[in-house]
Amino acid sequence: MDEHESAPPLLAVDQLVRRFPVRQGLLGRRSQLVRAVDGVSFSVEAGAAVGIVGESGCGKSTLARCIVRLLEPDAGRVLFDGTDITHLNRAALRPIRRRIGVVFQDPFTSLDPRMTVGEIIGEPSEIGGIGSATERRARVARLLGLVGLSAADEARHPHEFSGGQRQRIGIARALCVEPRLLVCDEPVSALDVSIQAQILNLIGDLRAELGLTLIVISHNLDVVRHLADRILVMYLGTIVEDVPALDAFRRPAHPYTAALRASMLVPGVAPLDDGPATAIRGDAPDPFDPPSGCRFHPRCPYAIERCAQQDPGVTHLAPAHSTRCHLPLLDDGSTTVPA
Amino acid sequence: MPTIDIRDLAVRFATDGGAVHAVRGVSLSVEPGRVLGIVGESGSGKSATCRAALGLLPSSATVSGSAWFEGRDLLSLPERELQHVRGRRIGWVFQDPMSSLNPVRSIGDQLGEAVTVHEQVGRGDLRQRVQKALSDVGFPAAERRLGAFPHELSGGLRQRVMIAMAMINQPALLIADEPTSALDVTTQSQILELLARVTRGSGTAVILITHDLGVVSRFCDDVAVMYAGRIVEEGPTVQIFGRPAHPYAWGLMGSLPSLATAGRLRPIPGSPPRLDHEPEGCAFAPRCEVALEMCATVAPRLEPEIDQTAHRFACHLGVPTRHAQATVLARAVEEAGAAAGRSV
Repeated sequence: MDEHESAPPLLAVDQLVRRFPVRQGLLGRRSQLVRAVDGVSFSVEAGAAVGIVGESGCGKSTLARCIVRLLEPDAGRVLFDGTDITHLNRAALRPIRRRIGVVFQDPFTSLDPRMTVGEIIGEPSEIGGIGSATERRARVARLLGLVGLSAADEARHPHEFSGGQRQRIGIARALCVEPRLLVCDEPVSALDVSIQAQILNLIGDLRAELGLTLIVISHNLDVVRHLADRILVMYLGTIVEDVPALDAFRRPAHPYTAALRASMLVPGVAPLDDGPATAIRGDAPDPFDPPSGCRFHPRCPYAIERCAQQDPGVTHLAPAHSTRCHLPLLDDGSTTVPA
Repeated sequence: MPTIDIRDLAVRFATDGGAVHAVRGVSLSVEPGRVLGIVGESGSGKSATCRAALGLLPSSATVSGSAWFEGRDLLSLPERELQHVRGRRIGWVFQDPMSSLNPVRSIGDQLGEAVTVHEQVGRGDLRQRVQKALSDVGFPAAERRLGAFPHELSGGLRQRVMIAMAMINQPALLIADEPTSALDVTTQSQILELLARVTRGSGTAVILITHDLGVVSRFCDDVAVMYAGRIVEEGPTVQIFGRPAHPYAWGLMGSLPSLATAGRLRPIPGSPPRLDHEPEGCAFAPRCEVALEMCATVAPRLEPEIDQTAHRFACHLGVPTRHAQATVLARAVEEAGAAAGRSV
């Protein structure tokens, strides 16, 4: 471990902010800003697998899109392999794009229905001008094999494939440029349960085989835990906990992480009347008007006065474990301050 | 006597590419006060089964079989009479509350109409009943928010309104089709707990359709597992999850990522079949790790393993399944152990 510490992380995100104007009112004249990502910082070492988990509207997809520059951040920086890519123009960005692959949630809308599978998978290398036409064909054939499709599938169109197979096509396309970093945004949410496991295995295998650095985004804590070594928990645009994957289940420090974990309904033989599955109440608050202090305080079962007034800064609990909470939970699930 | 008794239901859709056999001979019943979960993947026929009973399928569907409810067969009722049963004696909640609610009318209006379409009620009584229905589902400050429009509410609140609407006439049967799939996980448990609470007290029978095994194992008394238009296994939840008998059922449970799974998951190979023709034999056979030769040609019947148990499954392997299952599970545990050993 020690010899890696001096090397810069593969990805560093520094105080990233992205706002969206949202038009309201009958004619869309009133415009309000929603801060989808609000000052997020973290870094990812080469070879690591980081999961980002949170509910809809927490900003996890916006964050991913800023990292791969599908969206422009309003403030903050994104460093890839030591280079600040936040403000690079198209031409300068092109070699960086070759190092980052992206897998999207919906394999039904993210593939062009008029192109063949071979064209879809080969397109990124064609745009990038990588290799000769023959080399590109050979690469497509190799990628098809890598994701478990057959060479004959190259000439077929997306509509001839099931959801799971389409996601394999999407993954092959993302790998076409031989990326170092693979960003997967809800890679299995649109798939049936029996197919999800196939894709999760595939992503895990590819990571090991190709030495990929992985960012996996999902609303499902189990999916993220299965693929990632480390989990970032997002709530209303901020990271509320940065925790080793297993500890997210065993010793979550932030009450929101604990609530997420408690909300996971694990199949098994459970009695019907073993109390509420989660201690938190209500829905996520209005992102236009986030609560003062800690953004989670209106739903938090442990909130004290300070939580409504003062934004908790980052507390480091262990070398690889930090949280934004005034009263981080202890290992036994109690809070640090007696009630 | 069961609240609803569906017998030999078959649903066929006419499409441009020919007929699709969505439901192929499903029989199920729910007793008053019980919650039956129907689990299955997309296209397994779980929603089509319930929509057929409610008479809510498009005209391209051909339905056969029967659905007995309060002494009448819903499938042979004229639409007028069916409308009277729907909403009054049978309530339903669908996945997306936004597409079930009228966007230009207040929630108070819509809840009121759910009552007045079936019976005459005075204004004061109606208002009181609507308010009570909303506060029963935990709608905050119900009395002040009858004028709210659906778009002003969060997804969780909208689904509460849908449940209030489904329960306002105290129906004998509630059909909930993926009621929480569009909601966030922390909201999901609140809504499911609410459903359990409002139905358990009233003796309402519930059919809960979901793809989520976690939801089923926590909230259902009984489970029916559907695959390719048929029930492949059914029985009390405790038994289905405790010792699943059908290879599809244990494949499903083995393919979920959880704390117990270290390293690789054990997915079910292949994908669900297309139903443009009736599969010969067992529809799961092409994906089944323990299929016999006969599975490809002879369709297994849904039968109990031992007589007089409520746990039934459709698999030729019967008792040998246990053996095969034990072997596969033992292998999985061994692999998981080895993987965990490596990573530590």
